[in-house]
Amino acid sequence: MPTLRPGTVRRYAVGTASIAATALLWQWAVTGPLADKPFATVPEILGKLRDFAGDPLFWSSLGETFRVAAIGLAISVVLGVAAGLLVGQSDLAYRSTRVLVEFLKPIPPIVILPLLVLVLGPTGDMGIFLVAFGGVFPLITQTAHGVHDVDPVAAETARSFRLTRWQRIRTLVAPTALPFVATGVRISANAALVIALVSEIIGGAPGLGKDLVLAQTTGDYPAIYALVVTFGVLGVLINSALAAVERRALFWHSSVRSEVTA
Amino acid sequence: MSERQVRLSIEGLHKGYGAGAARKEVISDLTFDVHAGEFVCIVGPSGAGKTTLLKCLTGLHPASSGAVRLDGKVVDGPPRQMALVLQEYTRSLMPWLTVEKNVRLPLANLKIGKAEREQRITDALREVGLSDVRTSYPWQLSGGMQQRVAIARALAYRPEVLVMDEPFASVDAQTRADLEDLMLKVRQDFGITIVLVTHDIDEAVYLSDRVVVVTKGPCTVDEIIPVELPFPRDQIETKSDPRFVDLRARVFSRIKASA
Amino acid sequence: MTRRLSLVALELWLPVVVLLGWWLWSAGAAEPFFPPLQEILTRFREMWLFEQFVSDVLPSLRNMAVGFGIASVVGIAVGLVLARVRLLREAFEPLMHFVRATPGVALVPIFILLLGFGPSMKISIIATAAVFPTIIATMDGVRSADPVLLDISRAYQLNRRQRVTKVLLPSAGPQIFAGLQVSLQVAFVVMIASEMLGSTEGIGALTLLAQQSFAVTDMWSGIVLLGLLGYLVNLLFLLARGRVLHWYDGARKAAKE
Ligand SMILES: Nc1ncnc2c1ncn2[C@@H]1O[C@H](COP(=O)(O)OP(=O)(O)OP(=O)(O)O)[C@@H](O)[C@H]1O
Ligand SMILES: [Mg+2]
Repeated sequence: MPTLRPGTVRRYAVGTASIAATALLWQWAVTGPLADKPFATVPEILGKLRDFAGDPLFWSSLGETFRVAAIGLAISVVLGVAAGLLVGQSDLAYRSTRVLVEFLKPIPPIVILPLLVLVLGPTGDMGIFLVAFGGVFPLITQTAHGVHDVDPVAAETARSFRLTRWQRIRTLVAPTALPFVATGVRISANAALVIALVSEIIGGAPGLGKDLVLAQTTGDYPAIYALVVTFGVLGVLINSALAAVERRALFWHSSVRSEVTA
Repeated sequence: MSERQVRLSIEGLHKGYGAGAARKEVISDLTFDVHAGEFVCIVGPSGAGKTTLLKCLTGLHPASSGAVRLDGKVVDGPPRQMALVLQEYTRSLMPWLTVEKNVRLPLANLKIGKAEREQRITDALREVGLSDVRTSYPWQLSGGMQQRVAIARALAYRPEVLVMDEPFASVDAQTRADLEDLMLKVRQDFGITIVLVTHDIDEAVYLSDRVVVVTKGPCTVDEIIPVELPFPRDQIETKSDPRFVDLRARVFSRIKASA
Repeated sequence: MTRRLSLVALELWLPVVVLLGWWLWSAGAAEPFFPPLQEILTRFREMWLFEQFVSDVLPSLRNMAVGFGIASVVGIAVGLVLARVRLLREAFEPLMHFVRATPGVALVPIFILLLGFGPSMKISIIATAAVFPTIIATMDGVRSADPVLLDISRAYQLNRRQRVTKVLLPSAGPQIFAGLQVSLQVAFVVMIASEMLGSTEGIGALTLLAQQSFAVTDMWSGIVLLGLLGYLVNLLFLLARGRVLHWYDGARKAAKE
């Protein structure tokens, strides 16, 4: 029977109390000393969030942001894993591409945003491209790393058993590389929502980010804070979902692995 | 007589881990004294609670009840006069410090001059045979060498009471014999009190004034066996003394009975 | 020697081919969005070496350096305190994970409303957005310090300062630097974003303004500069990390062998 340990109860109590205290402090500050500053009160923000819930425009913006992030991520996963497999399996390809990949990897996608806006305009496609660009390099390096990590003895054995290339990938490379790929997916997925919002806030693509800039220019302060709260909640949800998925992926990996070696 | 003066006293010590239904009593009503300048070895089966006992002795863990006293004062935190060599030798050195910096770290707070500090580091490392790895990092050394660095750190600290948990577990036989003799010499030269936990019965008899045999589940004193072998002791002579052989058999049978 | 040379050749041939291909293709193609690479490099030299270096490049870098510096110091200090004080940790952890999950770029509009478009806004938003990864990494790192080393520190009477500087911070070092690296990336992105959103000063602003006024070659020269900076800043960070954490890299290598 799962019983709540006293430590856990206390932790939730303290956490809830501190969030409540923060809300009270905020309310006091924005009605008192910061009253003439661009803030919104807690009831205003909560009211706005309630409005959002019944507003189809909000949901379509949210859907658009998600669509851009998800498609961009999917493209980066497909391209990144394929390129990583290719690069990781051949020493020639690995060495040839290393400098290029290592140079491009630390460059954040926001850098090429002006070019994309120029070519594709302030559109969802521009956002998708940006998300894919930001996600592809971690996936290439992680996958290549994982493939590189394959036990050389096992690889030699596989060759001596005359496994076909496809069999080798399936039974040997994939199980070894999977945890690395899972990490790459987590890194890229974490970035996907942020990059989608960047494409909207700075690139002007439709979505929640654009709504934020609109709220800023029209001075709709409650909407600004309600949107930022939305982003935070989305971020937390995505982070915890990813952590859960990764745990399962790794679990699957270890069971696969024991099957192969047994 | 100062020889018989009690330095460490453990009185009715109880120690358990966990709370509620999961609580497990590890040490139960354990009592013994260690005299000033005495060399006491603690032996007992694995998992008996010897490490737990040392943690209580050094004030690292609070006792559940009962008390440890050092010179009559209740120990409620690590006392300044004590030095410690832990069982987890691969984890008890700072991997970001070189060997000599590891030895130097505890000396920074002692009221001694720089020259004396450096001298102590040099001496301690020479005594454990590690003069030529001063500037290496712990992870560049073998397990036995790491253990000796931890011993050097304790020696350079010049404690009044030295507490060691299986300090020679991972060194080779020859080095082990050398380190045992080093411990006897250090005790002789500086008059320090040494409490040492070991699994090696020969070692316990060879080093001790008294051997404390503890039982398992929960840990309590089974028997205290005085070792009336003459000093200075010698690896070959002492160990072939018929009294040594007798004592060894006695300790062995006590441990077997209590396991 | 020839082995080394052939290795270098093996690593460099593709980048050279890509650059050459870009150069030749862009020289011939009359693509409006892809001007000749030669022109981009010429504009690069005219703009950044060194006419607009002092007026735009330096302020950008200064904002980032100051913002990141504040974020590092505050992040490590706060992370350390939160790791050591349970009540504070339990109070701030949920809030902190929430704020960290909020993209820094989304806070830029708020900071503009509050502080205008000047350097103080940019530094504040850079520091604010960059502080959280370091706080969380430091907290986790300090909390996972080996209890054996903490026992040793207590037994040998290390005082609070020694425990922090000689034990807790070094042992958390690998995690702290992982956090700092994320913070640095955030700082770089937010630096650009804070300039692109309505500012007229800084590399990001110039690049976006060039795009909006269809000065395509200027825009490309900005992109090239930002790309180079992104790479160099990370490289510099990795060099510093390697110096501080050489013990950690050494120990890991030793453990593998
Ligand atoms: N921190 C702890 N929390 C819970 N149980 C513990 C803890 N430390 C030790 N124990 C338990 O206490 C018992 C005694 O452990 P201890 O390490 O003191 O034995 P030991 O005599 O030193 O064994 P060994 O000879 O193998 O070193 C063991 O059953 C162990 O599982
Ligand atoms: Mg033990």
